[in-house]
Amino acid sequence: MRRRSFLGALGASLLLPLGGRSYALSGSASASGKNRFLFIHCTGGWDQFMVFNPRFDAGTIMRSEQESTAVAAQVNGLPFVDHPDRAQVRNFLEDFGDQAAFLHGMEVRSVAHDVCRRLLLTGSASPGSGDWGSRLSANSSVVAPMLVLSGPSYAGAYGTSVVRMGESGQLVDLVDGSWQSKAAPITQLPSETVQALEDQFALSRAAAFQATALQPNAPNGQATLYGQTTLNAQQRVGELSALAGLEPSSGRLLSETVEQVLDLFQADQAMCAAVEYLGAGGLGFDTHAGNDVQSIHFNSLFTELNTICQSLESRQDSTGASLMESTTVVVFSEMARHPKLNFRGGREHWTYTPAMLIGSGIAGGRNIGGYTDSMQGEKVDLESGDSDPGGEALDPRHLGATLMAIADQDPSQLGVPPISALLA
Amino acid sequence: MIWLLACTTSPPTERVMPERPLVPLEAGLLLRRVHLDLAGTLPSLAELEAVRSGQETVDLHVDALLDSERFSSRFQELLAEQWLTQTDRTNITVRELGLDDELQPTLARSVGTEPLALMAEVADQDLAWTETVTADWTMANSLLLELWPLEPVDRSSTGIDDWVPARYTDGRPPAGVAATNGLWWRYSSNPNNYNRSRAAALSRLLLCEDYLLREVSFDAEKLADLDPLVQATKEVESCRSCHVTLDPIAAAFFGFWSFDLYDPIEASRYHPEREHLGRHFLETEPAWFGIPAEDPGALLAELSADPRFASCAVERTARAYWRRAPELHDFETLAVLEQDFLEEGQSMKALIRRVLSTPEYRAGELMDNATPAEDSTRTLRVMSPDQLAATTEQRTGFRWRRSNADPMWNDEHGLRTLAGGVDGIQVSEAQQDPSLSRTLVIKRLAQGAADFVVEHDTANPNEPTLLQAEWLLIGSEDPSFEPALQELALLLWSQTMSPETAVEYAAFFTEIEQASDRQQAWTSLVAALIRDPKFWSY
Repeated sequence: MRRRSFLGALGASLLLPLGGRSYALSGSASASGKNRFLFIHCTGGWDQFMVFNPRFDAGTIMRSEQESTAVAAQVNGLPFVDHPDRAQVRNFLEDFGDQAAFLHGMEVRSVAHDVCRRLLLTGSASPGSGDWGSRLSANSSVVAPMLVLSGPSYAGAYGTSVVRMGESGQLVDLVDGSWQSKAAPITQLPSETVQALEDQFALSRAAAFQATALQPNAPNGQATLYGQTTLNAQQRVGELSALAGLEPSSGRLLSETVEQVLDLFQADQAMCAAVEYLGAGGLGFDTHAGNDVQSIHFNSLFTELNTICQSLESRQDSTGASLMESTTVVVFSEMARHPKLNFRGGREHWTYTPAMLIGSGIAGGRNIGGYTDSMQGEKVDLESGDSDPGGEALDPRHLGATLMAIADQDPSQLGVPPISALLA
Repeated sequence: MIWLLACTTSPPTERVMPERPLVPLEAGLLLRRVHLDLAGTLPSLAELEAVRSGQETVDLHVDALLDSERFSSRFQELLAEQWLTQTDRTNITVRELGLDDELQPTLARSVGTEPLALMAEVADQDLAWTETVTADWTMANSLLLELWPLEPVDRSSTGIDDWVPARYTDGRPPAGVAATNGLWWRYSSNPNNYNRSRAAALSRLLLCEDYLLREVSFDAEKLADLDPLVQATKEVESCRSCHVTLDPIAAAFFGFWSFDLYDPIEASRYHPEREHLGRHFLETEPAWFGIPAEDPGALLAELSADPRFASCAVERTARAYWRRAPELHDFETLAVLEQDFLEEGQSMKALIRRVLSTPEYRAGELMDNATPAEDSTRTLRVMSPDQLAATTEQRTGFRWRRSNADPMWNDEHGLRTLAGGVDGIQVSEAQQDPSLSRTLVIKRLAQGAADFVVEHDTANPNEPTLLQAEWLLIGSEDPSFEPALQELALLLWSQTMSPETAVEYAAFFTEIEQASDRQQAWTSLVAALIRDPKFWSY
């Protein structure tokens, strides 16, 4: 006797209670009924003292001569570091601060880039964990549930929802078939009619594979899952033609890359997208020497964010609502930087890092948490968002739980509640 | 002579593997699995027939495959998934080395392959696995022999794909993979990281103990006030817990420490005169968990005697062939494997043979009494990018090239991660399930391979790669069509089609022929067979 294994629960719309709130597993929070997520990863570990942490009263923080003209300021309820060389930060906060929130002091519990990336993006050090975008889009039926244009990606158990663009846009070459003439030996594609018949037959074979996997006395366990995911992938591979015009992010402005994502969001063809931001000149944020370059990075980043948010506001989704109302932008780095400058004018790694969230589901103008004089993340009352010694120490799972709550998904599997104060 | 250390294998004590509620694969499909895992290719029709008829056992083929030419390269592919050395980029680029730009993929591939080739050679020559960390030799191809201070042991390399034993001539101590430029170019250390990241990589790769995964409670108050940070590693308890053992390991590697990560000479040569710098920068004596070790050679000798080295080798090997991370319920099996591994002189081939005999490896189905813990058992696997490329080439003669690189082992212009592989940096876990982008890669690979082989076999009826000349003349109504179809299924799937499936394929052929012509029908048929899950899963 063999055991049958069913995965019927996958995709079911269960209502699970958590903290007095119910989450529909396949529901959503936005007015249009579909929330999208855009992840912007500032690779290398950003300097929180250049924008997010205006603690000029703390003696532990060393600042460079360039930073001597920086001052603490506040716009739209958000305290920040104002500097004449970073005017775009103020501009952005004036324009969109009322729709943005700062989340301070998340502890990533490591100072190694790859571990921090994994922890910040998945909430776990376990290799099998999927990142927030993969989790959020796991049950999505859009063409590209989680589109990875650039940067790190942890598919974990959610690989079927992840669509990778490729460094030089290889995905598009495969979609439109131009790959066959760009790679050697050059081969001919059949006519559209024949390709359609081939796709149809491949789909029927995937369906047969799935049916076999579900039958008694057939391979089961992992095979059952493969049957389901194979069919799912085969059903959607033809729809990838919607991505045919995408350009790779390499060599393009962040906002230009994101414009393409917003096209897909607008057409309900992607739910989540991830883009890496390496700063001006692609130098990255890992400034163990010459930390001042981060000033240029931040000015450029906020210039780009302003353009992106303007576009989000000007676009409408299928319900006629502004895309900003259904899109949550998450801007983060895998770690922050040490309060002290080293002898190279750089900063070493620091484990307490901020993130910025903008748009749908976010209580704008909120400044959640803070730092002690030693730049340790303060514990937070999750309801009010205020620092509270009796509150919770924040880690990346709180960020993930909050995003899941915005998507009306059950965050209980993460073991921490969402930060209610961040939710609109 | 370096091969004198070859394992002396005595028959081990026969231990009973714990029983598992798993049903083994049918012999033909098991042969396919071991072929793909040990050689990366498909079994021949004769091999299939011999096993299916009971004339030969799968174990016999395991032995033959372990001694086959393909074993080494396939073993390297499996190692690459865990060692993550095969990245697209290196700190030192071809320009800095005075080479043509188009050689960059070849450089990156060669550098990343060096430590893998060394380990594969140890396995292939059936040397004790400890040789991987104590050898006074490495492996090199023609490019590395030209670029680095290396000399061949016996004969020189004839090209990029010809890997030969070689020795460094810059005075570096014998330390196997830990004395290879390939490993340390991948796991480089910033000048002010003082080799700590390298020490952590060694621990992760060779002991399966990851310092970086330890949950650390950072004492910000102490950390923020200490200047320089090296004080924190001595004075802050949460830092000391790791650094008290990590820093002495790092201190032994200052011969590999570069003042400039991007200087080709700095990064290519060992610097014996810097060995003492660890004491100065890290304020500690070089040591392996309390045992003094002056240089990498002494340190790796201690590491090879550490019981965790053997248990890690077993864990990583099981992981490679089970296609999943070992879990708690695997402990008993791993313990048996480890005892056998030690008794068999740390022979990797013997270990692989035993891993391939485990119920976990041979599982095709779960039994009725299987617990939820067994759900992770890979009753079915998906081909890696390397396997996809090798099997389609084997059957059709088709292999892609783009921008002077094989797209299946490259991401800059290739398809490695789209097809489920790792790039060593951004994607560090091989994808084990059928994804959307992998499905698209297989579609285009199938179309390309089918077009190529039908064109070839039509033009070369006397030397066909896949399709016999007479097949190309017939349609689905011909009585010899189904036998042809079944032979193709055996060639590509290692199993015949059910009558119902054969009818569906015949109908598909007719449909394509009506929409186009007979040649296209054969092309689409071959493409469909490759896109079928029975081809790319095993």
